[in-house]
Amino acid sequence: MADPMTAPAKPQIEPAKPQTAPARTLVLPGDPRPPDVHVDVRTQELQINMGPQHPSTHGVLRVAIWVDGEIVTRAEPDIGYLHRCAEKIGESVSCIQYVPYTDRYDYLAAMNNNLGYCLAVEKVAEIDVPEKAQYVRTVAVELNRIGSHLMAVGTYGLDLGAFTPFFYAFREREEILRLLEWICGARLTYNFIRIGGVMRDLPEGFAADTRKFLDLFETRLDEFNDLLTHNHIFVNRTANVGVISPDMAIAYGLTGPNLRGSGLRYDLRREQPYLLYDRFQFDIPVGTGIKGTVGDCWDRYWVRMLEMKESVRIVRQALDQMPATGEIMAKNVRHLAFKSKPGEGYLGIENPRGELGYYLISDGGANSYRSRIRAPSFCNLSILEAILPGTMLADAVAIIGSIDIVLGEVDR
Amino acid sequence: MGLFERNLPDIYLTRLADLAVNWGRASSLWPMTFGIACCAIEMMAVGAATFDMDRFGAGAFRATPRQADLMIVAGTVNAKMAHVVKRLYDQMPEPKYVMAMGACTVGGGPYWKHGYNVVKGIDKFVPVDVHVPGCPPRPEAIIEGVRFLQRKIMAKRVLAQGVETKPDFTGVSVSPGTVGILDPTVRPTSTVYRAPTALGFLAPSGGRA
Amino acid sequence: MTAAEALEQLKKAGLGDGVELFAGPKDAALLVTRERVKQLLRHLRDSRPFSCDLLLMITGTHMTEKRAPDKTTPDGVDVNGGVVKGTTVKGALLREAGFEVIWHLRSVAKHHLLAVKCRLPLADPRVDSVADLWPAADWHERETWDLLGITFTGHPNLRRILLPESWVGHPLRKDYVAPKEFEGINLEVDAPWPTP
Ligand code: SF4
Repeated sequence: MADPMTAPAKPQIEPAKPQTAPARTLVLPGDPRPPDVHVDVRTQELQINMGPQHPSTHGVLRVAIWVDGEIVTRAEPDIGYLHRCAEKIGESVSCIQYVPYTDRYDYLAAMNNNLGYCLAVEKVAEIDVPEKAQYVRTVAVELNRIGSHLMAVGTYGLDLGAFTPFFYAFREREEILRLLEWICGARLTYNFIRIGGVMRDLPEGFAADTRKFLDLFETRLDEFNDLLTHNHIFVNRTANVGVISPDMAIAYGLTGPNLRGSGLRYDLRREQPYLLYDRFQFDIPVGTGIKGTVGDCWDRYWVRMLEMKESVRIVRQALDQMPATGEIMAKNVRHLAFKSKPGEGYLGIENPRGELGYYLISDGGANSYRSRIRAPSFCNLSILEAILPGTMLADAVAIIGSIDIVLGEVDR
Repeated sequence: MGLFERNLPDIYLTRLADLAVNWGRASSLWPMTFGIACCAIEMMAVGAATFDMDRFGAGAFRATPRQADLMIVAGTVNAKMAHVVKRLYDQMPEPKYVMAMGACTVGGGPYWKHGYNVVKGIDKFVPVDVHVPGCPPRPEAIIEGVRFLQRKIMAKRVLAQGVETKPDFTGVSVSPGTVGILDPTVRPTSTVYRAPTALGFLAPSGGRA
Repeated sequence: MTAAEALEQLKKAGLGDGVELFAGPKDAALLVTRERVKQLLRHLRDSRPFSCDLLLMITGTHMTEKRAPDKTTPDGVDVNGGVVKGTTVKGALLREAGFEVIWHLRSVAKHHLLAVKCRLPLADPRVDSVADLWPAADWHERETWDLLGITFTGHPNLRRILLPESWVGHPLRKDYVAPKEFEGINLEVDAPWPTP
């Protein structure tokens, strides 16, 4: 079996393939018909409503599903149950005041959201961030990425009926939260990365503690692999389910682990290095179809597991390279009387869920004239309509979980 | 309790029966798995290993409102969601309790001014028993909220007639979750709560063992 | 590839008319008339030098009219000692009222990002849908319709996506007034609680 790290990525653009029939259809022994013919009797179509209060929709997603027997014939996600007026607020409060709001959109990766917004404002307002602050940002963001992926894989197990991995994931996540709480005082909504730098330098002893945690974490990841990744039931429920071809992924605007799970080596940290990512060595894991087809649910899950390892590597390197002292806030930012320069700009970063972009228009005031968030979950979710039809109803949960959405970001 | 609900004479026997019923209700609060927004993550954390709300009898998260006693509304409720929350509340069997978790459900939270779509406080359409402020509240705060609710339940009259006494909240408040979180020399550790003894919350001096 | 290079390429391919460069102080974009939007986007997707296969987002902005401050000359005294009223000259028009729609495209193979922009009049904000070119455009266009009220002609299913179906108005317009109530749900802020 090829090592997923070193295996070459699939060629980037492939000729369009027709959507293959779902891999799992009922085949009776001795049936001469090809396996993609459904052998069960057609039944009356039934509409099933999943959500908005459903333990496996990761929040308040509602999916209207039409089934024929056990097979989904049509699915229609209905979102907006958590619409919180993000973009209107972005126009109504000043850029400085808006940073805490960005925490609340992707609440599992709040640091990344802070970073995306701050980088976009810094781009429009032309602010240079000191080097030390950039290292601190990298450490915070990558720790947060591990936490977010832990949540994703932990609850994914929960969706598929494995309760224990959830507790294991949360044990590790609590450790990360404690580290992040140490640097900024909050567990979930950090407001740590500010426009022009960071709120505060890393506390003394943080690097040592983080290293200790990372050492422990790597061994615990293996434990997690034993528990869930190679678990026979889990593999059976996820391999060959919800296959997304690379072409389809691009057409639907998928980014992040979902795109990489389809075999495309595409990561903004490498394509368009922001912060100091060009100074670190890390790999970009892609799905290779170890257990089934490239781009199935298991691949997307596995990409997240491998990405956690890469994040560990990045944090280690950032801690090693970080200068001991240095400025943590840019000199030319006046926080109380902040004014941006007129202009507009788009900036995308690699959030744990994909490309998080902020598009800002500023007309020279304290508020931005328009702030649009390109939320990765919003784009990733729209593929549900296309991949659910033809799967079994029970697989719908596996597919929704593997896409790893955060509804706060979908609805904004 | 049907026919007898607050209909029997206020004597020692009925009071004792009330105590037994209330004790049963208070020590097995089953919350509904119903996360809306960011606060839901802290609600999950409180159910997971480190904080473990099960120690207080409130850890059996049910996926359906018909099996739940406690609705923890964890997150921002907007105009589209409000009807759903109302319907879920209506589907829960009596006796039912509601915890408004987080600034959003208490009064709109960060969205109170420019949130054209956000309901500023869920007490506009469902009765709320405990408000737990915070954005998000720390898991310790949720535990504290549950314990407030337990005290409130203990003061209820079930069979006996008469005026309800005020709940006794002494000793419920727990100390702030972390010591010196803004002091960079102190690494936060989660405060370890020991569960109250089985009858802990009956004791007037609070349940901390 | 920057927007300026892209325009060069387009001109070479004979598709340059109706396309100009929008050179803002930061990001540049291709500014295109609304009749040409779909043709241009299809070209950007399909032709080899661009191959912008990933549609990042579609969004719009409501631009209010912006003028330089009015100039008023102070009252003066004429030769006979009478008062001459000062005149007010309206400030120059800095920004026209209207809508702007912007498409951000990324090329996965060629690693570049292009933005295409189109200005629409306030009274009739409609533009061609690209939902048949990119399935990803479907939700973005619905969102833009929902929040800004820009119509995408040819969209298969242009309904509200974030707000409830029966919501009135488009919140991201600058003149939007938030409702006080929606279907029996009060959306106002309570009076502050009395302090004990
Ligand atoms: S109170 Fe804060 S953390 Fe909780 S749902 Fe509202 S915004 Fe999110």
